[in-house]
Amino acid sequence: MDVAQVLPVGVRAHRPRTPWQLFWARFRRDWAALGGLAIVSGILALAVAAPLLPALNPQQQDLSQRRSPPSAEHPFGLDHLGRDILSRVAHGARFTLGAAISATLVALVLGVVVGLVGGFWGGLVDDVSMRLAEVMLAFPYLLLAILIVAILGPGLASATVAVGITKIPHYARVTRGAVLSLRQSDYVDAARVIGATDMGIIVRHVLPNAMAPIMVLATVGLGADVLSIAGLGFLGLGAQPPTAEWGLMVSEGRSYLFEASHIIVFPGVFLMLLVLGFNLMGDGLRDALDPRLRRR
Amino acid sequence: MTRYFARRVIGLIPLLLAVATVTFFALELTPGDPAVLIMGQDVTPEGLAEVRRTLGLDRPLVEQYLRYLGGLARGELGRSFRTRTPVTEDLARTFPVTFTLAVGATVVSTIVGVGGGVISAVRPHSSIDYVVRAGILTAVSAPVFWLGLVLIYWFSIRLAWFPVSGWGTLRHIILPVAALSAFPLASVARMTRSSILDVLTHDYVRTARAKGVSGSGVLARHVLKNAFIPVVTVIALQFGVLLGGAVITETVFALPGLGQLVVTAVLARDYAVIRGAVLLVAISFAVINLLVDVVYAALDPRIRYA
Repeated sequence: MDVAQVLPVGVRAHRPRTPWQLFWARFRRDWAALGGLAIVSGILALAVAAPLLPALNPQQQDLSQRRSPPSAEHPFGLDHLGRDILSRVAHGARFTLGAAISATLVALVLGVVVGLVGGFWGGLVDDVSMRLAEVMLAFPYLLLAILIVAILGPGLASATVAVGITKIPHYARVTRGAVLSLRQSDYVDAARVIGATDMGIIVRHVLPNAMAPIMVLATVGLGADVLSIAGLGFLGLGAQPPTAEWGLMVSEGRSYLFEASHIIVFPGVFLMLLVLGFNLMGDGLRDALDPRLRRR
Repeated sequence: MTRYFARRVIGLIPLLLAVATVTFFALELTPGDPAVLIMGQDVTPEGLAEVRRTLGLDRPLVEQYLRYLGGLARGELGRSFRTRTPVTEDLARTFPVTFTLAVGATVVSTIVGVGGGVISAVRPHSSIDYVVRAGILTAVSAPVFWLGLVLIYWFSIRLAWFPVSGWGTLRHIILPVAALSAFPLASVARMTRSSILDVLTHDYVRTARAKGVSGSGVLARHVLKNAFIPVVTVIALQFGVLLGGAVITETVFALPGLGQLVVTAVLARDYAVIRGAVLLVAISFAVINLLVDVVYAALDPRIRYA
């Protein structure tokens, strides 16, 4: 039976709180972080809902009305080919956000595995992976992504893979650092004494404790990945026409900056909002996960 | 110090060798034959063989690699597959543009960023602090290409203060540098603010106050000097971001820099140009990082290099 149910009304049970509850108690008092969460959730909902709304057709052209400004019928106006910008922004959330999430997942999974293996067992894997990370970090980030796109050929999938690969060293280093300090800790020794296997120790003790810095890195990283994916799209190295990716939309609209500036305004504003949302969430996560680093 | 410096310079060689090797072999993995890309689809087999021979693509891979490294040692980077001009000439033409942008943005973001961070940290939770922090959040979230277009729209098209594109005079540089500075400026301001707030909690600051040093005296002599060390790290890290961001900024403002060169080369599969440009940027990045370490030593006597 739950402890709270046997206590008189008005008396709160002093239950030990889980780390998740402690985290949420701090996070929910941070209005900026909640705002970020709201923005990201809103755009995520838009991405999920877009194909379910038949009125939002991102490819339908009305050439007679091309470049017409926002109106009641088309709240965001029409682009240079007479396509509804609201529909394209809504569908574009799928590409930009989807690609950024995929890139982050690629980097997170591979980076964490490399960092865990290298940090926990050391040896040759550790030496090789850390040298490789050093070489990768010798390239400015976007340039390395462009180099990988050069190998794979331009496209949204290549851009996603490229952005993901360039981020692997970041996750590997953070994970390795956390693992190295945890490996020395008493509870890992204790677990080993009672006969836990290496795998058991990693999964049950090391990974959960290394999770906080990795989560913060991933959230802030999502914002940066959105910018990289859109940036590659803008350069013509990411998503290709007629995809409604936000960076590509801005690139296509730039020739009409003078006579139809609304074409670049909306995808740009949504890009900025999404990145802002991830940044606010990331700051809030860092504060809530590590109160010692609380912003003053 | 001199010995440390010499060792670091020598230490660059294996790193750059690794970078050169990675770029060489990575681009060899690409599907598609550059000779076909150069000549187009309807080329005779004889014409194709001719192109391969002149580019040296018919030689074994190991030989191509060794020739490439040999060329590097002599300061040669081969010729562009597409235009046949030496890659070093292309780089000499475009690198100054990119470097000017990156240095300009570093200067602007250091001055404005440190200034903003100090103003914000001196009066935490004042209205000016909130304005600065809101500005920081906006600037780190704005895509550089979009910001560039917004600047062009207002300052070139609407107000006609600056030219839309082109290169050569100071008026051509201002808008691109402004767009490129936004992100590093915000990062520098953020680090300055939190670093000062951190230093302010230290005992030596209280001691200085207790013995009667004025507010601005404490700030100048005790706080700023100590708070500046992590800021230097951020500035150095930002330089790499800037070299990448410059690629996008150059495209927005149609500037004849390294970024344009690289993007055109990627779309045309011009391996020789891609390799040269990537190597040059990696070298400048490594040199900057080395210089930063030297600045550290000057700022913080606790850091000793054996």
